[in-house]
Amino acid sequence: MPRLLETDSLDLLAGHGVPVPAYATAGTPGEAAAAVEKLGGKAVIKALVPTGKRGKAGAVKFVSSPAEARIEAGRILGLTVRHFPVGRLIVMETLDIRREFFLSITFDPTGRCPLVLFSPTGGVDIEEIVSERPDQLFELPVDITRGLEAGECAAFAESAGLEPALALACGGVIHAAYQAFRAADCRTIEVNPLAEIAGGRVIAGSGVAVLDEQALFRQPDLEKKLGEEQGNGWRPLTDLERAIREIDAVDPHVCAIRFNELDGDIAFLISGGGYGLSSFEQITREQGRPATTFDITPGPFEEKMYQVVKTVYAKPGLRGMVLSANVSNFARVDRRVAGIVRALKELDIDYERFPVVVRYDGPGAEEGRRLMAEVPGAEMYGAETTLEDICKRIVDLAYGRKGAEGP
Amino acid sequence: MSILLDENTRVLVQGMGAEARRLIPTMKDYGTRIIAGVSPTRGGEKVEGIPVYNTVSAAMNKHEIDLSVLFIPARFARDAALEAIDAGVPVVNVVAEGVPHHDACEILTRAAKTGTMIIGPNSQGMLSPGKAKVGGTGGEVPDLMFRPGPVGIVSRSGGMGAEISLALTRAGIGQSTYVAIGGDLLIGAAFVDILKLFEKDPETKCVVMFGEPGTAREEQAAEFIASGEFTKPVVAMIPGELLENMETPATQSHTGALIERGVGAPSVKKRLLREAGARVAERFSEIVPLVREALNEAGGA
Repeated sequence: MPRLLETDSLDLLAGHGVPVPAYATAGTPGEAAAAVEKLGGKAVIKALVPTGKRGKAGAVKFVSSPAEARIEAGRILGLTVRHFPVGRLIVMETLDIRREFFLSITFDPTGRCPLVLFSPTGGVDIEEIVSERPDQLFELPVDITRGLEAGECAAFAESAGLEPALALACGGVIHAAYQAFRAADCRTIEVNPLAEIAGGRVIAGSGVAVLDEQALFRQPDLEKKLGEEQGNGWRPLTDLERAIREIDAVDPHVCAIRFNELDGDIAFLISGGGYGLSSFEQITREQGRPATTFDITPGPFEEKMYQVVKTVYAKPGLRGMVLSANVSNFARVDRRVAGIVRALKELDIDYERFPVVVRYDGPGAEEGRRLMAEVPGAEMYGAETTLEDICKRIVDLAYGRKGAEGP
Repeated sequence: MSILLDENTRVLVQGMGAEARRLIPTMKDYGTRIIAGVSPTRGGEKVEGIPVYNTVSAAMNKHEIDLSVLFIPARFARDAALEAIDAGVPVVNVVAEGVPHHDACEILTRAAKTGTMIIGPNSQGMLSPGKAKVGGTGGEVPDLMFRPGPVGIVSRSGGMGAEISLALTRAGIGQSTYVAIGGDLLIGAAFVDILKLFEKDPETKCVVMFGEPGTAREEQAAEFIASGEFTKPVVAMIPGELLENMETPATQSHTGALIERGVGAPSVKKRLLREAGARVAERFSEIVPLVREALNEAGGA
């Protein structure tokens, strides 16, 4: 899911009235030192990467002089945090924290509503609060059609055990954060820690906003901020992922592709949310190692399928390829197969060494089978088989299991 | 019988664009009683022989409507669904994939207040074999996948619902009704809501449910079954247990298929369903034998 960087998340929160610390960004040790100087000689330096758990990776450091900032910035800029190499830093004002809270706003699929989660125990992961201090996690379901009033936010904070003045301040932040959640079409907003500082003020010590991919069409400014730094959600894009994204970008709204590269050796081009997941699990159960994951929305498939097959085939170390989708309602099997066949013909594959197994059925299946017959080495199956049959088939062929018979 | 939809259900189609023109003939051919259509700019016209109105309420003034299906792009689904809810349509099927979560949340909140049943978003629709179908399900080839019979099917995945129906049909086992409840995080009717309907349907002898990682909907189904309120045998498949410890998600195209705050692990869902007495298929090929077993237990088929 698209996750804003900490700077953009803090800007979003501040734009709706959440107090946030002063900060600057830096791309070099010198810039970091200058930023610390401007902040009065003390600051916290953090890796600016689209992932959490930076503290545990040693990518968060308090410094008390520009000289120290230079050294620590140099060190953090050399780190990789959960697969993301650190290219930029956020240099943030230090806070005189008296007490830490946890605040998150997300959707509750059971209540089908926004849910404010607040804990008077902050500074630790939500998972830790849930497993170790569940009594310290307080929930406020929100009627999205009515919204949230500042007064009920304060009453909610008070119900979590905060004394009235502090509850009022925290309530103000909850109210403002909810406005940001709504305005930016967030899936989740998290402020951790939410900090009480000198004078009873409450300020966001850090912030994360996770956006809704399905709403980016109406958040063009935020979409621009996402950029490529997002990677595929858990690490930067690989060259192959970047190549597939370029294929997709030619016409992103027609046959939209999702694609991930993995460490395995079977090119896995089986699409469909539930069907893809079921097949992926089945190949894993058969001791196969998928090298990719793939999804494509229905449409005039031919060109994109052609490009994807050609591009994925070039991945080193592959032992075979499996292509499928659930039996389709309208999506034309022949359009899909036409693209695949065009690619296979150009690639001139030795199917003894590189098996290709295909399963499609639905409208156009007859023509699809006729087209596939033009590449005699590739195996095509239809509704007479199941996803389980073809998962076993590709694993048998790819790893050379003896006595393998087709389904 | 069947649930939600049969040959007498009076269906309204919202959105008269290309998708509707492609789907309406297949729905009509299958027996669906399409009464009227709605398109804000085409009131007074006829599309595929169906009278079109500018608004849902205008259509409702002239006709009795039981169910509306939305062939409306995701970004406009909110307005169309709210219009149907406000006009008093009892069941609204939101087919679009990619409805913004804030919009889905508004639809579901408003529907809860009026008692409207929402199927979806991101639902491929529903089908009662030999009677009627709405949405894309069954497509141009419904008889390949479906035949009338005793098995109710409810699935978070449209594709897998179709595959399960196909496997049952090829094994000679028919279905009462198939409902695709939708793959998104926020959907209206969930397993429990559909199980309640199947419980009351005498034709349904057992139910196959296809779940996914994420959300607590399968856990809630397990609780409902364990409570004794659902008395028919259940066969369940929920993929993903073997992938629970993988760093990368195998697929990301269903926004509900995400384990969050420790909730939604397939291993837990399967354990709870087993404890509740459901038959859990580890592999796809186990579904048909388990359904046979379930039908024997139910004394049907």
